[in-house]
Amino acid sequence: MGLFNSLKNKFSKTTTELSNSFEKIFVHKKLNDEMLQELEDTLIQADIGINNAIEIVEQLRAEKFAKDVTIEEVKEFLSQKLIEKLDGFEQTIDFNSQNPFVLLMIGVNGAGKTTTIGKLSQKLKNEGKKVLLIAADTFRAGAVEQLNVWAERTSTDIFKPENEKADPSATIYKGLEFARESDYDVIIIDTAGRLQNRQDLMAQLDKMLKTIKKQIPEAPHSSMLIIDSTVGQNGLMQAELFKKSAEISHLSITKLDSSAKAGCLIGIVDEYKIPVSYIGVGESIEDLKDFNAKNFVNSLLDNVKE
Amino acid sequence: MFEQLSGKLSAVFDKLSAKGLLTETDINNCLREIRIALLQADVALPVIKEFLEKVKEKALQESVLKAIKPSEQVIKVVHDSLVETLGQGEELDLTCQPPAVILMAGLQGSGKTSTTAKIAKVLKEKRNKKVLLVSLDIYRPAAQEQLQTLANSIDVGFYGLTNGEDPRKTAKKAMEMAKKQAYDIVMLDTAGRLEIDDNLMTELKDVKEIANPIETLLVVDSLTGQVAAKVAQSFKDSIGLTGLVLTRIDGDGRAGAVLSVKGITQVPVKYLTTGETVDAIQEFDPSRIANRILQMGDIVELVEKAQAAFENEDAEEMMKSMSKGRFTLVDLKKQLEMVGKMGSMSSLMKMMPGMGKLASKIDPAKMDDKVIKHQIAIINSMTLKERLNPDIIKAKRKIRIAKGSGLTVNDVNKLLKSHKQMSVMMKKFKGGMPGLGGLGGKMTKSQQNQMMNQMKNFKI
Repeated sequence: MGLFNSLKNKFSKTTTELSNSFEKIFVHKKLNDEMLQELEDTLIQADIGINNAIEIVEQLRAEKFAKDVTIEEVKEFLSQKLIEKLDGFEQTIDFNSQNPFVLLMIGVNGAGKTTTIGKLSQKLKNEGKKVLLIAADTFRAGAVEQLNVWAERTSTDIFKPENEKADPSATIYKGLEFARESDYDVIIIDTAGRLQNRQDLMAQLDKMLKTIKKQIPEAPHSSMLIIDSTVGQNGLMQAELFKKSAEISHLSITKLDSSAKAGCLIGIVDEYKIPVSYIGVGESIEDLKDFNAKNFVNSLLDNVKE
Repeated sequence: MFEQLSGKLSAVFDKLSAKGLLTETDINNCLREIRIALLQADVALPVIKEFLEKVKEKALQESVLKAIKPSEQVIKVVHDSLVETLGQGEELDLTCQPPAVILMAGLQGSGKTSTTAKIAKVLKEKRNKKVLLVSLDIYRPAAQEQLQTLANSIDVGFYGLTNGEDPRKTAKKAMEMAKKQAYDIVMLDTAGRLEIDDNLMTELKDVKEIANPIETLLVVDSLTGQVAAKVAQSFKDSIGLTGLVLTRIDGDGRAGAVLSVKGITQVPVKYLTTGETVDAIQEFDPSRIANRILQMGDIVELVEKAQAAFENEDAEEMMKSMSKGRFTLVDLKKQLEMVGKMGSMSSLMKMMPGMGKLASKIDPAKMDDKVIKHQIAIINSMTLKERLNPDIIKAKRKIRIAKGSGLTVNDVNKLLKSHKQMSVMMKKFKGGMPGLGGLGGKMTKSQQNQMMNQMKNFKI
């Protein structure tokens, strides 16, 4: 319950708003077209996507139309339908499954890759793991510095590129070579943000993957896609194209403390079957939580009655 | 989407053409389809509602009702209303006692720091201003280093190395420094913040009061979903905005967020940013974003890309040989290389009007540019004599070429066949063939402008 409450507090500002709109729809009356329309609107505004919203509302219509309903019943119904779609896809990474475990972080620009690495390093350190960060974002100004600050904050080792214009693949190659000489448990590789439709950048990613395999054939043991909560339907495109080219094995959602609901996650999991591992809920080092489908859906729908 | 929408609208109108009269229900059915289309493009619901009112009013006008193809008329109404709501782009207004201050604000990761440097470069190079970049981001690690590196790379001033100091103080000092050193422009890059974070929003308000900016720009990721409208509204309410900058326009999002933020704030879009490099910034053209939202293709972008790829001597040389009606495999190779430079086939197809849907049907993996690379490999495996005179390529030569390129004789045949078809076409076009049509050819500036204007006025 502790985690749930802290999450709920984080979300309360925005959930109050969403649930208020739910409360407005239903007092205790027969489910009618107008109510269903408002319900659909509410789901849409959580970025669930028009098709998913229609589908869920139609299911509700089929079961409850013209029947007496309460807000609790409706929410319970929606919650079940949404959790169903996420069922079996809560999955943190088992860093014990390989040694060393190589994790590659991928995502569009500004999604929160570096911050997530910082938080994850702390978490792994708390679990007694020896971690190496490889700073392979050699493109964006200040990116290596940013990761370096996180490395210092968490007292984690970091492998930096030789110079400013170093090739990311070369940096990864040397970083993994360096890692072999010490006994690291987990190696996290930070990459530059890239838009999934940019072929040149995707080719660069492909090269990085090949480079990793040259050093450790079965690595990366996980490629994690970072998705920004505020993204709309483009989140699906990100999942589709990154999955295709980088065999994404896990997802993490950042900035869930924002007003956005990350409803696109429902469609992503439903369509691309990628498990969700962590959520970012703030800028401090401890603001990384395991993904929990029920809490996620609750925060999407729950009303805070206090 | 455009095809889907126009298809659905046609269906609605087909049903009613028998009746000959448009009813309220018919119009509502149309509006429902438009609503879905806009939602799929991530336009925020409150903005859609208002937008549909506008469309409804216009759609009920006689010209639409009496049109031979009312569905096309409705789409035109939608497109025109989009352009109207998006408004015209505006230049930064810097007319004030210098230094003119520009305050940059937005959520985390929206692209403020990169955008700050991009705008600074425009102001320095196009408007001859002496620019000072100031970092007020004391929260994100290395944010200051990022801005400083960018400032150095474009050779403008930088201030902000006061570690951990309250941004209000830094802003004050920066203003003093700017006055002393006679800067024309001060750009304040602030930390990313959530619009619901009261402390940070108060900080921003205070900074604004201290620096008294002439422009307060909200930087918004064009990939943002429904929340875009709410975020923009909150920023406008708490600090007041004079303009918008939409980032990541080079993504494959539908950019509905542009309509959301513009619709809700009613402040003009000042710039769009289109890539990681410091030059990747553009002025705003509402028609292009309207096309994007409706997935009508972005023909202007296509033409620009084509021009960028073709503006070299190769193209000129190729044009010369083609204008003689001669199109050899040497020319074809150059052409393939140029197409390769323009970007992926699927991204190109999405830009073509009416091709969006088709592009989505084609497996991007199969559409990838291997095809082009393979064709280039085949030509590379030919002798110059063969390239200039493909007719001499018979069975033995084909086998050799196939081996050399690592492909099959069948692939070689395919290439030769399509080359033949193309060269027949080239002969037909012999003479004038500006731009895209022939995938090659250098246009004069006035031809280019003429063509760009035609493209910009492109209507369905």
